[in-house]
Amino acid sequence: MKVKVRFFAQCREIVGEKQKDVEIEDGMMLQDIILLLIKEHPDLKKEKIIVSLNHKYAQPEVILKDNDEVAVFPPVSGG
Amino acid sequence: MMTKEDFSIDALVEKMKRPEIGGIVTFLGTVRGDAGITTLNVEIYKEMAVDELEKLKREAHEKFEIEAVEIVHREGELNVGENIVAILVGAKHRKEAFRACEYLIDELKKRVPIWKKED
Repeated sequence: MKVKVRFFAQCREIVGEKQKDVEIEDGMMLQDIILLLIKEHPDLKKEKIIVSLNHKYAQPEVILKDNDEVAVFPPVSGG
Repeated sequence: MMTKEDFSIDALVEKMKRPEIGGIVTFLGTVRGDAGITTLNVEIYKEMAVDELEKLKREAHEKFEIEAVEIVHREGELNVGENIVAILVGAKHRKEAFRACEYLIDELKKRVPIWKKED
């Protein structure tokens, strides 16, 4: 199983790519993938990270499914 | 909606006018020329921003007695003075339109996945 992870704004700059596929195990939660990403890119800890799942704000405890789209970004600043 | 092109607030107002509307409140956000700022880069997570904007419009219709809502947000590189965002609310009476317009811009800034970066 895998999920697509997209990065925006400062999080994209830290990770150095717009998106990547991440292999997940059965029962993995949204927060688990964030921890994995922080391990890989420790500078993400410097940002307040917001996450969404399939284009909606989501709770960290939600369980991921195959082909989900996760997005990682800093607090929004539009308008 | 999201657009790389500039928009005309006059054209948006004309498009919204109809007999049941007695007042249209508009908010126009522009690039402020703070010290050292020449351009602003606007990045949007489009798929999610579209959903969030639709949700915001529905909420505004539920909370306020209004007839019409339009929101336009620019993306890409913008110079000082250029338009960034337009919010238009049409209602029978002005008070509800003012309240809804303020609600929409406040919530947009809190929730819609858009980022501005100063260059």
